[in-house]
Amino acid sequence: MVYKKFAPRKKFCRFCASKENILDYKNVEMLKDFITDRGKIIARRITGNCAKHQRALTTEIKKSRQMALLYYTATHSTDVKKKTT
Amino acid sequence: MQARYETLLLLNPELGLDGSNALLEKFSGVLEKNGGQVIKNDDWGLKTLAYPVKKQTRGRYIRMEYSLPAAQVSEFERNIRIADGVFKFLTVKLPQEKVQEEE
Repeated sequence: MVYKKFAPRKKFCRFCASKENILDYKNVEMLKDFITDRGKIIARRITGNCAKHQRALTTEIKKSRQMALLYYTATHSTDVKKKTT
Repeated sequence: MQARYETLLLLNPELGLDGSNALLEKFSGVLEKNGGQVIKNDDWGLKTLAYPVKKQTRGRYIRMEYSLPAAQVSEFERNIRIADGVFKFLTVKLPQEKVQEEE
């Protein structure tokens, strides 16, 4: 019997691939691809980013959190607060 | 050559459009007094915040782009801290390559 090996799709770093993808704390929609629904930053081994860009990405996400463009945790988000009060 | 910076301001929505414009004018005045030059003011309008800030769920975002001598940036930030109605702000130095591309 031929053993079929599971081959996951090759991941690549989006920021190395195209120069048009510039990391910016203001670009919230793009940063949302790299955080979970609860607001956690997704690990590099999942997203496939290179080390350099992952480092830059975390600082941009944290800047974005400071300016209330992204939430720190989902329980503190405006959506949740509106429902509870 | 002077470095370029951008400051993202998060203003109290209760200031209204007039109040925020007055603030913006004040900040522009401070910049020019310190030898800076305003390049662009970008109003994002009222946006829902990701989390409530000072019990407000909405806020007005304004992005200021300007050139300023490096030593004067802290002075500018001091002025922002004194001003009423500014919830949060973030100053970032713009990368040199991007500046040159635009020129």
